[in-house]
Amino acid sequence: MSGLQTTWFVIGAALVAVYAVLDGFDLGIGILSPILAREDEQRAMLRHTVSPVWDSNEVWLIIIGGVLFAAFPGAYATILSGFYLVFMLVFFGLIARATALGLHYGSVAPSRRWRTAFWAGSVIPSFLLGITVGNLVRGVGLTSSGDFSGSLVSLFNPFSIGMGILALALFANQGAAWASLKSTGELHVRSVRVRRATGWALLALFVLMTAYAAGMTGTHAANMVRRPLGWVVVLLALAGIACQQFFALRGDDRGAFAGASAAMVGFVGIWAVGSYPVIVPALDGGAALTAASASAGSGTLKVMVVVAALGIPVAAASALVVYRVFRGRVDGNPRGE
Amino acid sequence: MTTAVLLSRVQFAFTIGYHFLYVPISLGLGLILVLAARRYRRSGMELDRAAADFWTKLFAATFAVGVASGLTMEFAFGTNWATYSRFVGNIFGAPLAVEGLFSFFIESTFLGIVLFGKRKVSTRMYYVSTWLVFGAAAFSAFWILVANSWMHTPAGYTVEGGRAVLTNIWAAIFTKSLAPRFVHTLNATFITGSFVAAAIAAHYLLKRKHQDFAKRALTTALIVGVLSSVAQPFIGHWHAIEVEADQPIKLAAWEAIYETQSHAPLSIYGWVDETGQRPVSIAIPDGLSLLLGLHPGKVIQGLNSVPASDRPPVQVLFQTWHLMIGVGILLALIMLGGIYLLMRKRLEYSLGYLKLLKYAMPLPILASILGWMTTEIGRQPWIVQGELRTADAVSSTVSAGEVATTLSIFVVIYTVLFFVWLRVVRAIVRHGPEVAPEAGPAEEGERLLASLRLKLTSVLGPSGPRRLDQIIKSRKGGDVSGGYHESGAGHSPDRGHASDGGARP
Repeated sequence: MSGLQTTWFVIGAALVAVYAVLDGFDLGIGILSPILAREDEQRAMLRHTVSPVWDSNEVWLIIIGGVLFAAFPGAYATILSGFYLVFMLVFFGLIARATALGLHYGSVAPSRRWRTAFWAGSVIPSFLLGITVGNLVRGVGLTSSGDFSGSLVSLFNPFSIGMGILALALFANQGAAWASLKSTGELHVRSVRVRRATGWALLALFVLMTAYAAGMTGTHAANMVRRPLGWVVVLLALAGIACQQFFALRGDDRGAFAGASAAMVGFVGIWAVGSYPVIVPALDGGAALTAASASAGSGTLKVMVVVAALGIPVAAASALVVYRVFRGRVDGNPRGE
Repeated sequence: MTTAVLLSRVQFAFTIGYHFLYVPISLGLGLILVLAARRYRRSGMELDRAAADFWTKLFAATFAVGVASGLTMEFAFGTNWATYSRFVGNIFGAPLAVEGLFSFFIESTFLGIVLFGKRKVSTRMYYVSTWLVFGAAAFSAFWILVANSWMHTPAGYTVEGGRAVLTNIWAAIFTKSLAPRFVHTLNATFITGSFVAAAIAAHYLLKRKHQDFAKRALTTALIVGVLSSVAQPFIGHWHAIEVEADQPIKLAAWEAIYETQSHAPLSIYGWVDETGQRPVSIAIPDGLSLLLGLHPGKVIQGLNSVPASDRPPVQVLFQTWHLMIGVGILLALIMLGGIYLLMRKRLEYSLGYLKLLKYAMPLPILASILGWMTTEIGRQPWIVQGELRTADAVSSTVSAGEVATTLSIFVVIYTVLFFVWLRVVRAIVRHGPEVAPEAGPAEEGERLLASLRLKLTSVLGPSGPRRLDQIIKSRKGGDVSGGYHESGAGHSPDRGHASDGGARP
């Protein structure tokens, strides 16, 4: 394991965390859209909380794809071809979502069909990304050449389905926190209520899944106990949930959103700290794909460090610009005019 | 070739070809949008604001489908071409990551501002944002063509343990085919954008709707269109010279040159007699040798110089290549005709020509797709020229049945998406540019003043309208820009911007 490979594992995990925090809330808005908004005006307000930013948020997913391809081509090839139908469904969902949001930005009331597309296009990818992470914690069947050897059905095991539900709860919680931060009136009241409910659900699911994971074979649980950083990320996740409920009592939406985001980072951290250096663990004693075995050559990794050092600030700066321009609560008019 | 390989190829071709329908339109419209925003920034006129908004809407609708269909492409190499991904990961992933980090964020951020933030930012910031969206889109085209060009003319690597390892990043980025490929492709997007804009303007002129807007848009579209479409054959020629040097078999297939020969003819139209190994065509004798070497003795390498298993399909390439050229020349002629009519000041009365413009809109898109087929099919049977065969590059774990399933879903979703996009575009065009309602003689005065502003701007620069304001202010002793805007609509949205624009140094 070289320092470069470790660096890229850390950058990769950080990118996943950023993506989860940012796209997490707009996927969450999609998941909750039928619950939160009951009338056209509320729907427009809800959509307008994400319409200027969702595209930029989703770009982080594309970045993860590009970085995985460049830094760990072995993992990129195995995960995407192994989870073929899972990822294709994720893409179909995201396409439906992007169309529902992107083509109807100017209209106040998209039809029921498009609202359903937005909802389903948020639920399906969220659940399936949870399924993916679940399998990356649990392990999959791998051949000696590092190809996936399991079946599609094997990806939907009780643990990964639990993780899929956890992902739905996480994103919904993040979405409710965002909606409460950006909305006013009835929508605001409702999103605060949903935020609290999903926060408690998250805690319950977390306890349940931790207990499940503790009983599993594999190195993840052992790593979490053994590594000091493991305790840090668990505490971060718990503190995030606690903070969120605490700030909710004080009516502080900003604090609650920060709490939800901290919890999100904590959950991604639990995956990363427990996994390192493994990217795709193998079931049945096969050879896992690690940051060492799946990585690109050191020449590429060095070039990519330069690219990341220049590019991530550019990306972060432009993301900050859009959040700064569109700060504050929104009103019901979809174009803010 | 196994079914899985064939289906993966069809799926990739279908999804990227679909993506490539929207990319040239949005990039080309991006240029039209920047030009409109520039005009608005300089004049501050309501009509120019409405024009910029109109192009923004069209751009955004097309961009949205581009984003939706582009997302899958980032992952398509891993899903369907795992062996390829492992082979090229050291080289191919980096440009994709660079594209995302340096282009997509800037693009999505500033598109958000252009679409939703006009009231939240200054006119200058709005104008800069349109430039950033367009510039980032062009930059993204650059990086994706870096990756693509490497597949055609790989460089800067060695093969170790069955995969390409990077040895020289600059050589891997600036491969031999990058420059002509990038210029040729970007210029094609300008042609596409100008034809789309011209078709919409012609449609309005024929319907006698939004005529002020349409006349201006048509002038812009014709100028952009004539420059780009007349330049395109020359850029294409530059690219062909590069292909002859670096991928001679591809060029031989385009012209169906089987035997290595001097005095090679240039086919204009025809077909390939594959058993007889010759083109049956109307041809210019010595034409190909003359074009590529400037003398008839130039030797062109033939298809038979390599084994049959290393040759691309000849018939289909011969057709796409000659059709692309034919359509490309037609596009240049259409634009030249428009410029002629414009200079004779007969454009808006030439109904036949306007109809031609309206219905010519799909032609540049057709030419783009044909050009893309010409270059990509021309690379076959290789996925990386000379290094890895397409047949060996697929994901071994993905079955033909799985690809067939996803391919059918793609076909359904993308077809629906196409009609949705078409409906949205039609609604935008039917709605037209939203110029604030005009009423009474005060409005006439505003229009006169506005055109005066524009003329002053072109003569004196941004200080022109400011001086005009000062003169009127001293005569009337009141706030001019507020005064005449109020008479229009209560919500005339550019009121603040118009006076801002004038007051800025």
